[in-house]
Amino acid sequence: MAGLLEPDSGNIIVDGLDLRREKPLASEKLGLVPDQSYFDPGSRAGDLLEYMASFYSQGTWDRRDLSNSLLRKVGLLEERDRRLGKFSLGMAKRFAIAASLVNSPRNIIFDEVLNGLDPAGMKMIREIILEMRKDGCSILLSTHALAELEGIADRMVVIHRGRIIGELLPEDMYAHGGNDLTVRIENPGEDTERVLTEYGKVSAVGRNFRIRDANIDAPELNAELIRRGYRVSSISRENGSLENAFLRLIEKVDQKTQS
Amino acid sequence: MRFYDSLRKWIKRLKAELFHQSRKRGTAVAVSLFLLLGVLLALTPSVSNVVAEHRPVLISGFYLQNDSIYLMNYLAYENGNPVGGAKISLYFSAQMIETGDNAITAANGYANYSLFFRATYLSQYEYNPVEKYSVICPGGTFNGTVDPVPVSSPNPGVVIDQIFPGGGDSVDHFLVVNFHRKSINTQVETGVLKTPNGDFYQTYNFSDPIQVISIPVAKLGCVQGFLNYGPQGYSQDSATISPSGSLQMFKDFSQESPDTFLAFMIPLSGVMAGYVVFGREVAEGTMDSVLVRPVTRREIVLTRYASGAVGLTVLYMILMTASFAVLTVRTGYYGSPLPFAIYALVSAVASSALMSLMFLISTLRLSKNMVFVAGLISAIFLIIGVSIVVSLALTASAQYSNGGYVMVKGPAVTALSILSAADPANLSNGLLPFAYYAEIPALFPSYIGNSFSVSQSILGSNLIIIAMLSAIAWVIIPVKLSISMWRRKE
Repeated sequence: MAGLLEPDSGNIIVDGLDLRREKPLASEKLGLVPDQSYFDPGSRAGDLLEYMASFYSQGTWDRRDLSNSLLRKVGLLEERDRRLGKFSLGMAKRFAIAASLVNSPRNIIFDEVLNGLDPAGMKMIREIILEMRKDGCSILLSTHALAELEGIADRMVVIHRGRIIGELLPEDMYAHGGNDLTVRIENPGEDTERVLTEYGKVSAVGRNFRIRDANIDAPELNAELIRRGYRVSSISRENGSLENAFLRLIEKVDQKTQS
Repeated sequence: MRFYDSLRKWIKRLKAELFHQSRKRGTAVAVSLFLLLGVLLALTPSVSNVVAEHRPVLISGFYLQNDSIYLMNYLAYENGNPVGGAKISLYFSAQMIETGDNAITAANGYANYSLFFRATYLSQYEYNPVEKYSVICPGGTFNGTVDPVPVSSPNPGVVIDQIFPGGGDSVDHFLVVNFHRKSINTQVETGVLKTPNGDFYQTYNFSDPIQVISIPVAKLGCVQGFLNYGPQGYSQDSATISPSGSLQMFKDFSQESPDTFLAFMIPLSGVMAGYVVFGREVAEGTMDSVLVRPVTRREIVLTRYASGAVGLTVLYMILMTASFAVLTVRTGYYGSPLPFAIYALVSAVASSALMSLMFLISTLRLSKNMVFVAGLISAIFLIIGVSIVVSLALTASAQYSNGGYVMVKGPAVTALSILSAADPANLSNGLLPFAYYAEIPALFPSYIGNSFSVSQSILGSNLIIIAMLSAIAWVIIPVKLSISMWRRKE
């Protein structure tokens, strides 16, 4: 989608420009943060950013200022003269973000950018994404760390085995996410798991019981357990997680394929 | 206006590429290696040619022009200045002397003939400058004023003595002998003969038809021989000289020419440049970071190629300027820098052409190490192949335009030698019928008089034109293929 590969079919339109036919113009409006560092390890961070900026309209001194400000933004200004081959994974990712922002793109692709990052790195990227979102940029973020998307994404597309199998909005999560309940019982007995099986698939860890796809709501379950003499200290509902929605979509597709 | 804008855009892009490439670590490594070898080249004469003070050397050279072979000999000090008060003797074997109009006493013009040069010092009263001589080579026409003087050794023949009054830097101080060539197949073979008493002779053998080339191809324009004599003023009876014994190459006292260096450096620098500016990044996948920018694959390939070619040209110019400066200081001779500039230009063109091959290899989905190895192997094969093609093209073109005689530079002769060693029949069965060769006096052109104009015209016209033409083929085809290969589906 960034113009690295020739597409088998279809078009990629960036701000009305066909990436295939008008590649230079379309690429000016696009940024890419790759999943792994694809920068020349023999180049220095500052030099390479200036070189990247040379593809746009900046003059020599502007390029230097720009590279400094971008490196400062991602916390790498001190590493300006260091060769990229010496960067850690986290530093390389941060450099990749700086490189993708060289042309202040209104459209940006984050490709598995969260993989291998420490919490501080994740937080930084999250903040950058939110800031860009606030500025009205279009952001395409591909990831397997689904939990990280919650609170960021406005729209999610699920791709399974190379095909789009569903599209989710945040409000759709409950509908796709099912009704999972987690119950903590202080005085569980030998038959507690069997009793709970009446309300759904049960898995137990110590005094915590998780009922998947519960066919009963939390208040009713609470009342029923108390009636049977259990001391219930908490019941929580976990419906609406993106992960659940994703798994359910995949299950549905697989079942459909098998049948 | 559109063209102007486009040109301005390309120049801007090229400047950015040059600036970027110059700051890469790979560039620093490659340039360091290049300059290190360049320094070694510049120092080579001082390493391999340490001459004792006031020990003059006999400098001999030859060149081919139209239907003539010119031999030049002079005596010089270490710094290249001609030695005064010396005599160079030219010995002919008996069968070389014509006794009648257009007659040869033996072998009917198709045997091997030998010449022996040697230098002796004269006493002051012997100074007697004589005219240049024109001597007939097998089968040619006698048009000189040679007075046969039989000598007892090496065999009955003639001695021509050229006496130098000394001083100055004039062509008049050369013993120049002009031979007519019997046919275009006549070849010259040079070597140094060492006599049992330790004297050295510069020898030339003429042979016909074509034989395997045995000239030391990588020597400087002149082959140098040391005189094993005492201080100036000493004289020796030439009649006692007995130049017999086996021919041996004069390696100990020879001077390496840029040919040897360039034969290695041209392919090597081409491979290095191609690897640094393009090959490594494509093989590693790091070029993708450039591809997402507003630029097409074609533009990337072309601008990277141009930046590499410009870089190579600058490097060769620096190298040749340094070589020229070092040699000028060492020899005290302020010659023309033109041959150096031509060398630099031709080298840059040739290595740039090889660079395109590296571009192509790197788009073949090999690892970065494999790309480098494949580049080196290809370069070795290519230099041999190109040399053969160039030598054939040169000689063929010369046959029709220059009367059939041409000088072929070191790499080409090297290639021919390799070929002939592998299959001598190739040379004798007519596959390579125009294998002429001569040393090109690149570093001391004006010392050998007329040969300068010959070498200059060939270097300055034919070679550059052929280098340019072959470069077009070697550049356009691999570069175009590189672009299409790189566009393939991953």
